[in-house]
Amino acid sequence: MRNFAKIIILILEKDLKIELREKLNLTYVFILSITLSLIGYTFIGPNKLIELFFFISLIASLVANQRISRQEISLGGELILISVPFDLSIICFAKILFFIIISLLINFTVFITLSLVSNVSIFDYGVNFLTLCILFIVGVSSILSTFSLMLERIKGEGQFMFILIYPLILPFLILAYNSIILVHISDSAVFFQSFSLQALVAFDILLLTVCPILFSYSIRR
Amino acid sequence: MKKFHDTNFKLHLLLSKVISMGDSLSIRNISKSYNHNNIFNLISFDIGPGQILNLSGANGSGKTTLMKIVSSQILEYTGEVFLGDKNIKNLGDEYFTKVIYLPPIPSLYENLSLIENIHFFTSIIGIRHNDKAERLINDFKLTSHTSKKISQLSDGSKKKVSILVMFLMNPDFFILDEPYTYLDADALRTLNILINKSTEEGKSFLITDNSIGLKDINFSGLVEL
Amino acid sequence: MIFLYAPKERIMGEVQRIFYFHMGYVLVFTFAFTMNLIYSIKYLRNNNNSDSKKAYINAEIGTLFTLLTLVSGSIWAKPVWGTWWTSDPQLTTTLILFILYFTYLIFHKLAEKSGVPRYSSVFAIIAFIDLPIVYISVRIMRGISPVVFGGEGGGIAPQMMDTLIVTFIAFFFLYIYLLDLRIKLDKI
Repeated sequence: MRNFAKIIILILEKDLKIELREKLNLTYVFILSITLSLIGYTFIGPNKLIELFFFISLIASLVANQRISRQEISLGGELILISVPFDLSIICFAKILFFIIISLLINFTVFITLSLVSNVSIFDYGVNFLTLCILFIVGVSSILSTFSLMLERIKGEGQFMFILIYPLILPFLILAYNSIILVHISDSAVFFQSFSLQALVAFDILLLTVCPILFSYSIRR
Repeated sequence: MKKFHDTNFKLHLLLSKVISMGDSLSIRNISKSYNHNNIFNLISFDIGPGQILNLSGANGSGKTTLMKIVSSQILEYTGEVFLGDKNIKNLGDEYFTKVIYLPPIPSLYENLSLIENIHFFTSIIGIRHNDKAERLINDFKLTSHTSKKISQLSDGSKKKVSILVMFLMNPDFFILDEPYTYLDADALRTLNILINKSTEEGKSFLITDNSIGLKDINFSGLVEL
Repeated sequence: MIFLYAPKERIMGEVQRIFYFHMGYVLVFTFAFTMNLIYSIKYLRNNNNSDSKKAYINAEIGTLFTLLTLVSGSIWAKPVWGTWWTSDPQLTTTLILFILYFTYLIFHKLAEKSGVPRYSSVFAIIAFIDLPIVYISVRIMRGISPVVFGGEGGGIAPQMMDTLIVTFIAFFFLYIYLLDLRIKLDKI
């Protein structure tokens, strides 16, 4: 267990070091989030602010994820850490955690932008909104990070195949959408006891557990 | 087509038995095809402790594929690979402490420096490297490049770093795919010294390359595809 | 039995008989996608090519029957709801199911072509998560799809239940027949 945590920390440290040094991906994500927020707000307006928030967050995550995973692939087209003497699920798990951090940054940027242009504080929805944000990020990051790591290894068709992954997020979005409706109308007690939120938590746990294992099996078992 | 040339094999085998009683890698009847095209058929050979085998063949004969099978990076093939008496498919992640594959194109983090790459790879495997790492950096004349990012290094320097990291990991079996590509004469010499010295410690090598770097290596045998 | 034994439904009339076919299609795709999951897991564990092929064949059958479910549902909906389609959660999730497995069929072929057939097994395992969402969506989301097997003992007459059970058995054998035919075609 200690080794597992140590390896994850090493990989996270390495990724954060690269991102903070290069700043290219962070800049890219920052500009993308702001631009999409402004475009989204222009066309949809202030009436569906929370839905717009999650929609923009999703689009930005879809685009950003591929760039992030590319770092793990060598110039020869193979996973750099393919020959490590420990389960590859640890690497996948570390990348999921790293992408959760990047997604938090995306969400924060979108939140600030939408709050500024709309003059409405989304944060008025408080704990419900924050909880839903985190659950949303965890689920989307799990699926996207796993598949982008797998597909970046494939030259040529890999890009197209990554687009084919997008439908996998749809079931997760159905649950998230139902919870978004509850953010508007519920107090915290009702929100946390709602079936859709509990199902979302269950799926997050399932995805967080299953995706790294499947990654390991797909590459090396 | 497979052939196994037995140059000085018995003497080398005797020597390696004196040096180390480690396990051998046994490749048995390996066949591989892609999309119904046969790459190679029924390849068998052994790599004992302290041995250096030369894997040769024309372009497209499947040398890299065979090396990836031996280093357990390709899982779909017929036949078996044994480490000692254990099938490598049953060994799991432990196998990667014993066998390392060096790809032709260096596999490093381009945005980390030389020393950061070394630190990362050795830490993630749990190896303490300080003296040996310094010595290897000196041997490969990389001292002035330690704080440069990998992306700023030449292809030759990247190859040296890649080789250096592999020797720091210190496996029992080194699977080297075109290790001499990009290397200058000095680095070539350094690599050959390292290889010959490692075999005295019981380490084994499977090497494929078409360059003149091979001429200073005392091969135990040849595998032809 | 559907046309002779089962009684006419009081409100919807004769058009309700499409319900038996509709539920039969649902049964087939449920079985097919479950078998797709099982063979995908088996393929990841054992690396046996025939498991990968059987997973693909099951997905083919499942996708076809999901499409039939959507079409039969639309035909049923028009006279009853006055529209071919509505944004009902169960309809939407069934459509998503169809899109998911249709995508899987393309993904599988591409993965095979790219030399990574194991990836399609990963896709199938995660796609299977949608199947329970289709079933629970009618309970957690407000929609106009009826709940046939509810907590209060269901909303279906005994003769209709008999017909439904026989329909299920008949469609199960249809699934087995199609699977067998398809496997023989592929010479697995």
